[in-house]
Amino acid sequence: MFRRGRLDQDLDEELRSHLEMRAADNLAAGMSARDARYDAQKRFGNTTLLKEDTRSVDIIGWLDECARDSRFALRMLQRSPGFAAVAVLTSLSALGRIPRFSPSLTPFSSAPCPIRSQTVSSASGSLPSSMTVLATL
Amino acid sequence: MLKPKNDLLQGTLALLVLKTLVRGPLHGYGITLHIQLVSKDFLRVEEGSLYPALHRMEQDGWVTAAWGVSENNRRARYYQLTAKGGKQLADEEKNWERLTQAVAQVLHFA
Repeated sequence: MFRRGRLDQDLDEELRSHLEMRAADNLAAGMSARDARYDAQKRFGNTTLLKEDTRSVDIIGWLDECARDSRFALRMLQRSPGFAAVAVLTSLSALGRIPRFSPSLTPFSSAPCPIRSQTVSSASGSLPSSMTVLATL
Repeated sequence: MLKPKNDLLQGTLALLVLKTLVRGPLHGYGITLHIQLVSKDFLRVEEGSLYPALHRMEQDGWVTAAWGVSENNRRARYYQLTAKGGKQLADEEKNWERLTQAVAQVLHFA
């Protein structure tokens, strides 16, 4: 979303700069200020349509870039399987701990040791499914 | 069918823009002016169709774009030809020559 806002801003500024340059040249050629601006706008045609066309080109490029980035990330993970395993286990244990932690918040909490062993065993159990999620990106 | 005074076919536009950028980086407005001037007012780039085309060429890696300051001290987005764009230009110039030759051959036959 942040990136998209910047693309929009860039495009607005680019088109505005074009219109201003055309209007300035028109003015220098002897047109009134009003005619100069009107002519610049007229040559541009339908600004909304033009912006949409240009923006869709930008967004397609941006999506391509995202896909490239995630393919790259995946390749890097494949190259260092040890790091990948640690990263996946860490995120799974972080995610998996949340429901398991809530009972331990009660005054009659149990020792933390069983929680850790539970987490690890459930994490390795769900490993294949989360790997497929990564791979389909 | 062809309205050379008003708009250009999309492919031809890319060819003309790439050729214009051989002289150095230029903003969109400068590109329209150059094409109009060199063609002695015969070719007029429809300004609306220029920007989607420029941004597409940027995505394809034929040009890169960067903000700069124009000769009149205005901020403008300057497009610069890349090596890939130069190769594309060479291909499109070859195609264009083949096309015009073929049309000329048909016209001169009979």
